[in-house]
Amino acid sequence: MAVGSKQMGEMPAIRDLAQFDRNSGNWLERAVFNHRVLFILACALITAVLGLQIAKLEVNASFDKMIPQSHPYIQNYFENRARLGGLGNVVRVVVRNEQGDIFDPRFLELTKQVNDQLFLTPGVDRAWMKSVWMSGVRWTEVTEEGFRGGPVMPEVFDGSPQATEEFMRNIRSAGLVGSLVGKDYKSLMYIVPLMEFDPATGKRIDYAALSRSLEDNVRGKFGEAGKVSVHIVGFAKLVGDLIDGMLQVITYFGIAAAVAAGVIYLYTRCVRSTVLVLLCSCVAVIWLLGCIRLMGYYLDPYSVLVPFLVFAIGVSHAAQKMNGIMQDIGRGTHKYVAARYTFRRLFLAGFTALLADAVGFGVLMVIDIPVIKDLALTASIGVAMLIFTNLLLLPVALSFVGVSKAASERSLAKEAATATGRGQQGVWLFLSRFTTRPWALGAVFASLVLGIAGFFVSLDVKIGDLDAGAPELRPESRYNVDSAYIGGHYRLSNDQFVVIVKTRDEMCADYRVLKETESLTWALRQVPGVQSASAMSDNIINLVSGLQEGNPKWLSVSRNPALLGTAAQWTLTDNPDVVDTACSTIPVFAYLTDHKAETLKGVVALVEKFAAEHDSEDLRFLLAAGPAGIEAVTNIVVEKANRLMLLYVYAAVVVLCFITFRSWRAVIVAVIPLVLTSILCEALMAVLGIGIKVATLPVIALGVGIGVDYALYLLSVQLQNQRAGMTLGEAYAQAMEFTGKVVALVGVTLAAGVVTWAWSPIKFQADMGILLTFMFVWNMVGALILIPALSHFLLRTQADRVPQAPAVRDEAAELPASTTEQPGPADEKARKHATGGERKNVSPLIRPAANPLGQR
Amino acid sequence: MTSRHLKSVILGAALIASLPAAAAFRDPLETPAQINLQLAKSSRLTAVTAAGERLVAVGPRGHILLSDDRGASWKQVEVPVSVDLVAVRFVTPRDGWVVGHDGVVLHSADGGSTWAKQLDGQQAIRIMKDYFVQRADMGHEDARKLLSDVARYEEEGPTKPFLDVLFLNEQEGFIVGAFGQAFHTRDGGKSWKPLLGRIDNPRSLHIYALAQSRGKIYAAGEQGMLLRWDAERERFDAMASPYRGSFFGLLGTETGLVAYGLRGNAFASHDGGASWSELRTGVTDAITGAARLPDGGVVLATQGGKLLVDSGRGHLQEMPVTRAMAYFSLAAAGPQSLVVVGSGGVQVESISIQK
Repeated sequence: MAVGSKQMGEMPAIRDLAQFDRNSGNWLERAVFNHRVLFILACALITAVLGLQIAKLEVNASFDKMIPQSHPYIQNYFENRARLGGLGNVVRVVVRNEQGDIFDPRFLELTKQVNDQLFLTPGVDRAWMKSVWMSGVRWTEVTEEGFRGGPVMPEVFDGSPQATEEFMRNIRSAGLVGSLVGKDYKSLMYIVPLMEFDPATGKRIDYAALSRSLEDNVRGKFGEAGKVSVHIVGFAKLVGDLIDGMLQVITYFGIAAAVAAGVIYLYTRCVRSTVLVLLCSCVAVIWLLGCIRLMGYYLDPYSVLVPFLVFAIGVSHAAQKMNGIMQDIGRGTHKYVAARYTFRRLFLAGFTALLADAVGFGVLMVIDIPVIKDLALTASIGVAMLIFTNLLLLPVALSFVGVSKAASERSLAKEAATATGRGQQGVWLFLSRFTTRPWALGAVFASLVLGIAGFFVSLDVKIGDLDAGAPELRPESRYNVDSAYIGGHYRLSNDQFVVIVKTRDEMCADYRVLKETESLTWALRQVPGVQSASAMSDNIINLVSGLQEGNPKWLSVSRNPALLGTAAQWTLTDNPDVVDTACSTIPVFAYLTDHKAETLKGVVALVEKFAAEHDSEDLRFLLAAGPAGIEAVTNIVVEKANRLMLLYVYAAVVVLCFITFRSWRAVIVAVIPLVLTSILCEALMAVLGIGIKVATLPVIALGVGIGVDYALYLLSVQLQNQRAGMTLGEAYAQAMEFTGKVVALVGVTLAAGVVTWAWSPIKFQADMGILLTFMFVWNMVGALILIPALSHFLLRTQADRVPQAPAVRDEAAELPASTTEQPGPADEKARKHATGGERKNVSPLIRPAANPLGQR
Repeated sequence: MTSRHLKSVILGAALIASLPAAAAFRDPLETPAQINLQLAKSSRLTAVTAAGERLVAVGPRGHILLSDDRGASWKQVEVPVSVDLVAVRFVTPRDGWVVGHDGVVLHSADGGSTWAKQLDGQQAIRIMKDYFVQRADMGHEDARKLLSDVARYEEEGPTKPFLDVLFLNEQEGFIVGAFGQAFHTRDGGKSWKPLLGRIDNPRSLHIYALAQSRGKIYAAGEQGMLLRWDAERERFDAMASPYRGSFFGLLGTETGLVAYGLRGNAFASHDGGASWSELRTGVTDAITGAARLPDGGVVLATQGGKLLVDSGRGHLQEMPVTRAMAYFSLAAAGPQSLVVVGSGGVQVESISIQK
């Protein structure tokens, strides 16, 4: 921290620019302000270059990035993913006749058109597409001569009773009810597998485009309210919906900016500076987005939130710059000089505060989930951008435009009012009561009650996602409505847990492999929450029986290798989703009643136990794949990371506070409100049914990391006042007067930045928005009430015990307070007190040795 | 072996390479069945029968369930093996036998409460080998001819299920199964005599069912095969068959026999199999089970989930059921109800016949 100014008190009002020594200030100040035109142009150029990059910035969602990459179970999944074909990369479209059943000839004609449309959609792997209209979908029946079969759809379907009867019989003997035909015969399903790459162009399939194409060309074209409804689920559709959700959230940025503008204007009452603050924060966001693009990243549903946070942090910090400049200009200082003064006073403080925020982001890097790491990285970049835009660009820009005269005079008038003690406003006066015993007792007791009650409520907080359907989206979203419909009318559960059975190539038809696989399906069926379990062994059992004319006595994984071999051959050709072509990888599917953490834990425990007992050199049972399997692993990592996260973030905050305050008591005063907020946040999660998941980890870090700013602002000023000899009540009242507003401003702007997420169509963004808003606001309230109350018990000095002691002004400078170490961007007025500045100090001297604040 | 089976062997051989035995694998023949009543009772069950007042149901993985209240409640009992069981028969309320895959035969002498393994595929092969080698050594030409068949059995190992069991009394009984294998006992299953070469089954078809009617023993199997036991010559002789499709089951009644199988085919005989009359079932799915009703009537169960009651007027009447599933077997449970087992476990249906 070489860049710092020590002569804060020596900043006389200079009206005439000619009287100002341009070579004063540190090297950075000289470098920037003496070449301010160049600096502004450089910034404009960077903004233009990076702004152009934003046009190329991609918005995407990757499921891989939401899962803990290096966990061994996820490694298993990655290693075998290519062999588990059809796991996920399939879109299912259901077309429902709302006015009749599937035997309505007009409806059937329409479903034929849907079939053609889907078949011709680019990216569809046509060979594997399945529906009653595909000739590959056939019925078979055992006759005296052997198997007999044909396409399910009769050659000519005219809606006659005979044709209906024939169609119905074919559907039954092909076993399509619940797979391609709804259980109520009112809808048909199309299973549409997708290719990774477009064979025509060789490019990766654009899921967003595909999702839109399905929306327009299938749902839009064939769906008709009250007559025909179309339901679409599948990985590609989910990604498409997530991207749409993100695009919607991006528009909320405007709302967040408008709210921030309102807050800033209320604070400064100056249009010019409000615009400037917003502009500088926007520049930071532009730089951030440009950098994300240049680094080859894209915006995902998590990192899309970073611009909001950076903007909010930028606005709240910038607002404080305005304060200083306004007062200087109000005193008559030239705007250029005022800008340089502000820079001198606040650069270091702002720099340290931003570093503190970065710590909050930084601890997120320890979590082994790419979206969180990316979030941490982009947030750190964003904060770095703020150092340029809000600590350098803003003062430089102010040196050109200045502030409105009325606003600066108003600001000065208020300061004068404060200085003479007339400015004590209602709410600040009220809050300072918390330094007195009855109020402090009440506040601490209330917090204790809240904390204990919150703790017990928070015991109910669950790990993982709790709602049915795709947890990324809201339960009432179109996608989840579709998913629920399909779940209710087809044998298809979203909560699919997959165990990977691995053997050597060409071994999948081995009796032992199949018998062990069958054993695993039976073991899984016994786990609470497992609705059904199936694997290749079930296909084999049915085929063995099928080869014996369907006699149920042959429903068995036979020891007869000839039977198993034939059955396996049939399976390999007819059911490629239950075994890979190398005949070495068999997915075992467990369909769960829900994806609650307890259910997933039970399945994981069973499989681990089963693997321990049945694994051998050439046959292994591996966790995990399928949405529920991946979620189970994510839960394991998240649960661990949650504790680790809290540990790290609190350790960081404690260290930061100690460096700032140099007093363990002050650290306790600063941290307890945060702890209370963390407890209440978990209680809130329990009440709102928000589980601990990937999305809530950053909330905890951000909530605590940014939340500590309040304490830094407030407590540092209060401590300096106390060290200057004020009583606790006076010190707090002064601190409130100088920084209370800032604390409130920061709380409101931060909350305004994130509260809009609560309306995001993406469930986890909404959860993050609600929790962050809660944490930002509650941390603010906690800081304003609990800091004085706790101070009453922990930070009283001799000044409080000897209230009538005379003031010994001159020795105040010997106090241990060190302004250069103060990280909070506290109001410069506070510093004047701390350094025994220009105003009369009324408090007695307290010797450092006897001062609980001065223990070093 | 039929050409169909031969084809299976060739296809299979191309695909299979044998895995070295791993210590971790526990052979179902040596692993006791897992007890989980809820799962066992709602999962596939293959056969059910009455043992006096008690009902006994068997299913895959060594599941055996008992009910003493006509199917209202069930309990699962310990079984020393966890192979897939396919048939159960009690000759008295106490003595019963269960057969299944891997050539397993289980016996209970206490009404199904405890079970002991009497035979498995491995032992069956040894018995066969010992028997024919000894006979061949004694100079029996027919036995020497069969030695090559025995060698093939030995090579294939314990891969063949027994598909039905029938005892005439506590001592004498038969087991029959895949590829025509069959054994005969006269000491309650303590020792078994192979019936290889004593059955008119040149194509080694599966024998699916055994039945007793008016003191005579009958068997039925694939491709319309019908057999009658000649107690004096100790062999199963072929009978003329009314059907060329496969029979899945055979029911013996006081008055005669009902043979049933593929595609809704069912035939009745009242003269010991000399002549057969087709039953008009009105269904096209396979008939998998049959039982005698207390009043002497017959009820059939189909794979398509239908129960057909003999109305006594030449055609069968479909009975309403509470839950359709693939039915595999059924037994009368008291005068008014039936216990049916199938793909979805066990269920009780009340008998209703429109007169």
